[in-house]
Amino acid sequence: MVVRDTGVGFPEAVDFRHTASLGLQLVCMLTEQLHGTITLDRRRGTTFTLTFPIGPTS
Amino acid sequence: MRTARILLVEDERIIAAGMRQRLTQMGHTVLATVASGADAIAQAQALSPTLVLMDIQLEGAMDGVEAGEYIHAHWGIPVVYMTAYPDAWREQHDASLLYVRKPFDGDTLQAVLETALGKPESERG
Repeated sequence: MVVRDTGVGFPEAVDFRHTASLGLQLVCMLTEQLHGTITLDRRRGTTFTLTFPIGPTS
Repeated sequence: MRTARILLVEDERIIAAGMRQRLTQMGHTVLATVASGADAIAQAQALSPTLVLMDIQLEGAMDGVEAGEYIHAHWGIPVVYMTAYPDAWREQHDASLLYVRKPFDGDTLQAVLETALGKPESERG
């Protein structure tokens, strides 16, 4: 799942995995709960890519 | 008010985060939060918490009661179970298994916690 924009870009100084933003905290928690991964691409705006396994994980 | 070093076992991450915050506000220390029975056993051994707060439904094959009984039997750590169905809990489980209703209110949790921790060192004969 990809969520992106073409805005000014995510601040370099901010670590999205450790932030005071409740929204990002929720996204990271839920991604972990679903055994997924989340990455951030700061080029050309902001792109978050969330990847989840299909089916049961061991 | 007695405080505890708590191992929190809860597989719903958002609920766990809320509980961790609440427990910390109450003055307790949450040593770690895990989501499965296997991780609960591993962390109980590694961290030696003074208490385990254990959800029943967990990730993986082991449920919270199985993990809690193992932890108590092997290391003598008190376990307080969290259940959304206290009536069913009381019907199905021995009264020696301490529990709180989930979601818990601070006063009730503190009272059950004090029971679980037993008499403080200073009061023992």
